[in-house]
Amino acid sequence: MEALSGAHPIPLVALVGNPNCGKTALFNVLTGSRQKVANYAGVTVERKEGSLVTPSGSRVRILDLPGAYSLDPLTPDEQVTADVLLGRRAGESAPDFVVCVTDATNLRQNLRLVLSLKRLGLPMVVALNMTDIARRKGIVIDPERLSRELGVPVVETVGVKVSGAKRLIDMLDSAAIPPRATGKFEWRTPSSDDIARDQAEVRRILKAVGADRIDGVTFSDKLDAVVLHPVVGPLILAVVLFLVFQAVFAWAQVPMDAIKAGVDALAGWLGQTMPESLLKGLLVNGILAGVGSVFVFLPQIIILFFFILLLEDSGYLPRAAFLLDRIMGSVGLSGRAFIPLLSSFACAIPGIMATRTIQNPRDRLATIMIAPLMTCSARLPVYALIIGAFIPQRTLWGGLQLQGMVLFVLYLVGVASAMAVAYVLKRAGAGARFQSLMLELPAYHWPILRNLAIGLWQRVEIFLSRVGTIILALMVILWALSSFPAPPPGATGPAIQYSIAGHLGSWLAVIFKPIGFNWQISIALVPGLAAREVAVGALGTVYALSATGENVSGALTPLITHSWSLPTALSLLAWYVFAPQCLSTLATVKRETNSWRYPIIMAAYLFALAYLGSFITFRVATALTNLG
Amino acid sequence: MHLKHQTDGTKQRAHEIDRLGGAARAGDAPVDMKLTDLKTGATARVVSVVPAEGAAALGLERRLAELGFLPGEAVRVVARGLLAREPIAVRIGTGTFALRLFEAACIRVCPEQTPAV
Repeated sequence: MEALSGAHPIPLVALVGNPNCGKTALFNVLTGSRQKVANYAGVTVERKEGSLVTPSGSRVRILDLPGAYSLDPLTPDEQVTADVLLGRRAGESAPDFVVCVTDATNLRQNLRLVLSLKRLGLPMVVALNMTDIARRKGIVIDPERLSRELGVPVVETVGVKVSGAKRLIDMLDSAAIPPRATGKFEWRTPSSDDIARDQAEVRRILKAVGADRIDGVTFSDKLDAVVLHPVVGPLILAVVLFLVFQAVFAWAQVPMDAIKAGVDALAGWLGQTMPESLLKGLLVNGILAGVGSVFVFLPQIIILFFFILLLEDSGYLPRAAFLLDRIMGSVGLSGRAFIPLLSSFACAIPGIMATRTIQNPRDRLATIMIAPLMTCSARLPVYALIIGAFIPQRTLWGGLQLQGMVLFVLYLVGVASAMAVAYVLKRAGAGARFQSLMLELPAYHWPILRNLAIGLWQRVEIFLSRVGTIILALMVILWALSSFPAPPPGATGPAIQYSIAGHLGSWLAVIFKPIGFNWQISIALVPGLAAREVAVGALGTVYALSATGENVSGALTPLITHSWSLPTALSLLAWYVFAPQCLSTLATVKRETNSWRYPIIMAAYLFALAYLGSFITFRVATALTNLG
Repeated sequence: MHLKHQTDGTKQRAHEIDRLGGAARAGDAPVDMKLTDLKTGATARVVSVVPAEGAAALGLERRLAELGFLPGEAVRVVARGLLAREPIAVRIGTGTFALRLFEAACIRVCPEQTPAV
């Protein structure tokens, strides 16, 4: 793709700006759903490109560069931005035109980047963004005046409104974008004195356009007085996180039941109408039972991502990082590690990729190593299945559900063990002496529905494409492994016992017997290596096939309630808190650290923790059950 | 260590810093202090950013400058953490950043006479 773009006739426009200037919202307005999310070659910095058709019908490619405070990079994100702009990034052509996005309420900070870009000499326009918020604050800036002072064209934009980029689009249309300047751009790293001189110029410009007022106590400050309060703040954070987890369980119930009923009805209908054949077995036992039991967790994943995106968009996430910084610092992590770790609750892969915002390499490594201990959403299906089957649906005081409570405890165990591992790493010398924080706390915003919807859809797409590809393929393979060879004539046991999977499972069961796993679980763990949630589908397949009767419904819950003991169920929960059950995570770590050493260490320590955790859980639970 | 000496001899050095920093206004009887010593809610102006011992390797001074911690800019302590009063949330100009104490300690400020309303 990238190799071709050099010869591409469609002009490339880059969006550049400080973090939190509303650049991504503007990108969403410009490109709508015509976005491609990928990575820059060789690094895991997210590359977002979209396209725009101007009113006159010409096409423009829009590249959303990572947010940067300056052109002298300190993080891999900023490195990409600087390299692309300076035309020295292999595989990326320098943009033909630059849109420098600025927050109209924070020009004092944002205009320095404009001055740097202007010095670079690329054709550019300044997008004066968030003018709606600025106006509400009484900051009215005349774009023409600002343009005269800066010596660069300026257009007003409102990134939260669909029509907010109209003037910018007209500009991209009319400004016949000049052919790309050839050659590399000269860039000299400024000293602190140079930056101070730029700031003096910024002050002069702000004064000239009448925007040099600094508000005393803003609305965000008043909110921060509560949200960042040393005592009230952590309480609010605990309540927020707790409500999120309760919602993931409670709100998802109705749609999950509907999906389950739909899959069951389809399986029942196929079972009655299709003649007995291998194809029927594949469809009903392999695909519907397997894929259906993973697909059913889509509502929970949507709800979890919805809350993460909501907290991110409103500006609360960096506040949470602020509140947790000291606790994280005590185990040798930066408060910045909070955002990657929180993303890891959705999936460790974006979490590990998000560690690139941590400047210190040793800090970053420690964060990468503990990211898989954060309970990712792929573990939810497993937790939900076992909790649903073994934990009674009881309401505790205050309307809280016991099931939600158990889920919360599982998350806490993951976090606590992550802290413990980080502490060990710090002791082993992996933590840095001086950990930098320098985290921006942007002004609070009402979350923009459009951005939430686009973000949510991108996550749902990833999940669905996994269900449709990796998971589907594994289900078919597992079905085949579980169906062949067919049982000998006159066999009495369930068919799967005679299959390849049955042999593999009984072999693995020897290893897992001390922690209470039966052969069905042992089989399910194998495909679970590719993706954790596959284990649930695999259990569905294994149990559906081992049922001797005609009943092959996807209802896994009653099956496991009858065939597993409580200690076995708890042991499996403990296993899933720790187990290195995800090859994609290990592959990401290999890519991020550029070495096999760390994924191997990670897999080994997680496996050891998982085995130990399950062993202790199983033994203690067995002893308690016998006592009771 | 260097910073401690400066704090001890603050008053004697005030004039010198006024001359060097150039940003503190004459007549305000500027008393420069570490940003970390500024009370929560109090406003001040940045006088200078001095590199901290050992942390200079991280490019701390330039990074703080890039975020806007530059002589003459208005600062205010917005909030502090519960444990050891760290981290510290600082309004600089129109933006807000959370800093570790060792980062904030590099920033010398001169308190404003009139508190923000």
